[in-house]
Amino acid sequence: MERMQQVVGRARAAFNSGRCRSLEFRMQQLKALERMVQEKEKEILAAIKADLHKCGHNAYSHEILGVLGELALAMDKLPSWAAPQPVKRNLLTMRDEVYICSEPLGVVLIIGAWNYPFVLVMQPLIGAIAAGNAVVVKPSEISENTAQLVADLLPQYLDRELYPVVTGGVPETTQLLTQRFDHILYTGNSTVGKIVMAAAAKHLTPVTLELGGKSPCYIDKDCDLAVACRRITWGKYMNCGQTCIAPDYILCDPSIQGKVVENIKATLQEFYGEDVKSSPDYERIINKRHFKRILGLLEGQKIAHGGQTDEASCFIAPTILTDVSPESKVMEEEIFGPVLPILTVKSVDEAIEFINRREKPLALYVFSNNKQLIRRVISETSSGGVTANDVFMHALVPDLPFGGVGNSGMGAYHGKHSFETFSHHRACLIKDLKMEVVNKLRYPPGSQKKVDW
Amino acid sequence: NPYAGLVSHLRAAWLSGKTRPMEYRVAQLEALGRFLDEKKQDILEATASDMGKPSFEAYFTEILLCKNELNNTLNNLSHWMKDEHVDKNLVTQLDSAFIRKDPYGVVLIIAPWNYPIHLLLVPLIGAIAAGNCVVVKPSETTRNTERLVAEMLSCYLDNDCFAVVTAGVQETTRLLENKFDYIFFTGTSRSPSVGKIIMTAAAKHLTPVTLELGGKNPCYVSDTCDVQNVARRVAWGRFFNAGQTCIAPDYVLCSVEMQEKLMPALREAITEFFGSNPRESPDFGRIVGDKQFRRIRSLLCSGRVAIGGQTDEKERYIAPTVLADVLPSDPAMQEEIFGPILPIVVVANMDEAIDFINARPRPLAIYAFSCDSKVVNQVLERTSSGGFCGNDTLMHVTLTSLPFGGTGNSGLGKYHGKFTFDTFTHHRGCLHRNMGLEALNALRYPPYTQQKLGLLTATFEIKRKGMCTLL
Repeated sequence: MERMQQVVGRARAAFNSGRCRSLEFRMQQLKALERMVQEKEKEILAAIKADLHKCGHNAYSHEILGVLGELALAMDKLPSWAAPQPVKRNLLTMRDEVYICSEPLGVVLIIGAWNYPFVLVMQPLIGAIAAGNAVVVKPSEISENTAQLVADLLPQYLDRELYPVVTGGVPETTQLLTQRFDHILYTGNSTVGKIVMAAAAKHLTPVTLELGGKSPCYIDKDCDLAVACRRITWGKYMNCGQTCIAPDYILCDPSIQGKVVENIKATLQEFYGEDVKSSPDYERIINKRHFKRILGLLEGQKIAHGGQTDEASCFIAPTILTDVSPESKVMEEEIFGPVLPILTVKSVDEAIEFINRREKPLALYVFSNNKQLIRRVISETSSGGVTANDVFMHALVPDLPFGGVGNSGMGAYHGKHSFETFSHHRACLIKDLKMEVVNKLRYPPGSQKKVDW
Repeated sequence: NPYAGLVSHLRAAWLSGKTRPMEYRVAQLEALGRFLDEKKQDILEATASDMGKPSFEAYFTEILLCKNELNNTLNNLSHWMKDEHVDKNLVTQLDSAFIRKDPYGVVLIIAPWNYPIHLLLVPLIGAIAAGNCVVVKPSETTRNTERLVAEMLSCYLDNDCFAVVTAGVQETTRLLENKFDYIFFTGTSRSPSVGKIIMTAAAKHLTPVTLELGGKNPCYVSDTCDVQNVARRVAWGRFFNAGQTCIAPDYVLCSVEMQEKLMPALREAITEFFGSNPRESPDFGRIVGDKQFRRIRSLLCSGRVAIGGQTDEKERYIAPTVLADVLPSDPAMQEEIFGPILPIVVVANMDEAIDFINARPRPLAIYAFSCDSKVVNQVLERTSSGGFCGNDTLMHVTLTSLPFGGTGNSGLGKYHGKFTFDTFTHHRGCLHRNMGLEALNALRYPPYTQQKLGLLTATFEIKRKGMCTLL
């Protein structure tokens, strides 16, 4: 407890010193982060490989490319993001200065997740630094190699007091959450999300919760199945299904279920070859606990493809389940693994109804050649975000806010949205001490004349 | 759960999609406009009998400012509702990338008693504009206004989608057990603790919240200023609504010389506004209830009473009062005053004033008066608060283009104007791609080769000027 108090206290004192307010300082820190990613690329890729059995190419494109892009964007745009924003004035304030000032919040806490362990601490960190805050970083202990690396690297490149890294598990995180922060960004699951928000409530700390859910994927009869299935396969089995915006399950007409399975099988062959286990491009489940959990979801299911597992290496083959019942276990929780259930629905109406009966997901996917149908699905459902005719890609457009709604989360970040999330937008009105005559209208004594004017 | 039926009724209406078309929202908003026009007299009477609100003030805050927000919303609604298209990167050039403005669903608005119509209607306007169903809970402290809202709103708005719940503390606690898709809470004094209760209840359902709370809003007066104008502006802000304003200047920080100069100026301003006996002025309000009256009265034993100090318990009248030489340890400096008492705390200089402000929780507003713009800017830059007004009080919240909200203990979230619409809207990132051009995607698929990675990195341009592109 004392250690947490000290770490946060030091960060707060450092923030109060004012040194992270200047744009020059923030740019300097961002540049240092950029150097870190470039100089330590090998170490970062090695840590991710050790945690998730992820090959260098994958790790580079999933975690490093995005971070470099976010850094470049932040450094490029910081002056314009941070500039005071003049707003429309009314008659009485015509001669005054009226603007919105973006200010740092203070000390923010970033709690990372284990599935993309590097980018999920780095991307929020970039936004928080850009907005002028001190940041306490708490990487996920489950991806222990990356957590340790982040704890080793950040102090080598960044201001040590302003951006401390705290490692540890549930007890340490619980202690950390008793401290006062000015914003908390948490990436993880809904159950812990509620705990984080309840802890934040004790200090009236605003939160951004990037949670999850079951992201549905509706495949219309009228679509290029080969293309749709290739894109879905890419998204579903990337990182062994351990992606918050992975297409969790498929909804489609019974008449195309068979073709969907065939197409996915063919794509899997294309991607990973005959023997998936020996493909260097296929990852592993993070640990035994999750391995067992996902295995449990297969019980009693019709396995159309895959199903092979190896506990020693936490390997689960890319698996497809057909004719899945909505009440089965695999449909109760976010799968977060390489298991793809297909549920049949007779129409898009049924699909929409099905989706709306459940918690709002983080992402929603719909594949169709019919623009009207796509528009309908988007308009009649709710989700954090949407990609139509592909998966994931909405999360890669820097100007789109990335976040959940309902059970899948609150708040958003990425690009400029990170900067805004970690800023306080202060309304400023600067008047003249003269021109008092204009004010007389509002002063008592009141009269009907004044009201009528 | 006594409110389960009500909430599920509204949720069914929400699921029917009734509140989504623009025409529907416009019709409901126009009905609110008619409420303000047709029930103007009732509103003025209700607020007068609830808390002796002067009709000039009631007209200004409860009618005029609400109509401004309403008209601003109606004028801009179609624009605000539209999909907001965003810049695309290299790979998505041929796609459609936009932010969809989705309503949250069934939202809850809890309003306080000090501006009982305004602080209920302005959030309600935004919630309706954003396409939500709304449960509104007016304050039980202002009984007549509560009754007016409960009876009247159901006549003007669609009862399937909008409901008024009258409830005290116990019932409100039960109400909060239900799941809402957004909770908007405005509190009065001592609201940080209630804000925490609301946010804790919201956490159980992962419900996002906006909390408009309060604090002690400092007012720094530098030695170089036009004393009479300062006195007038500060007095106006402090004594409006008998001090029961979340953004009222709570206390003054100034030098001992300025205190001396301010006193006669404040006395003159008060007389100008309310006459020699403010008790007889129709333009000076009363304290809303006995409990609040007694609380504020007990703050009078701070420093020394330099102006006013008279009270009448029957009328719940507290004279416009200025306290001199107040110490940080005095009762008046321990809580948000929320009454017509203005303590003056002496500080040596601007730096001491800034340190004083920064040693305390972040307030909803900070005021700084000086003829020297550098001084005003220094206070602005070296402090943090919900909002800031230089050389005046209160006025920053009358602009619909400025966000209104707190930070730290004074609240989270913001509203007014478009910010209200945005508060009650889920900004959904959408990307509508082409099913063709699959060849372009080949770079991202396994099996990975050095060649692919090379091409990928080459197509990934990190341009320092302009957009950066991914994949």
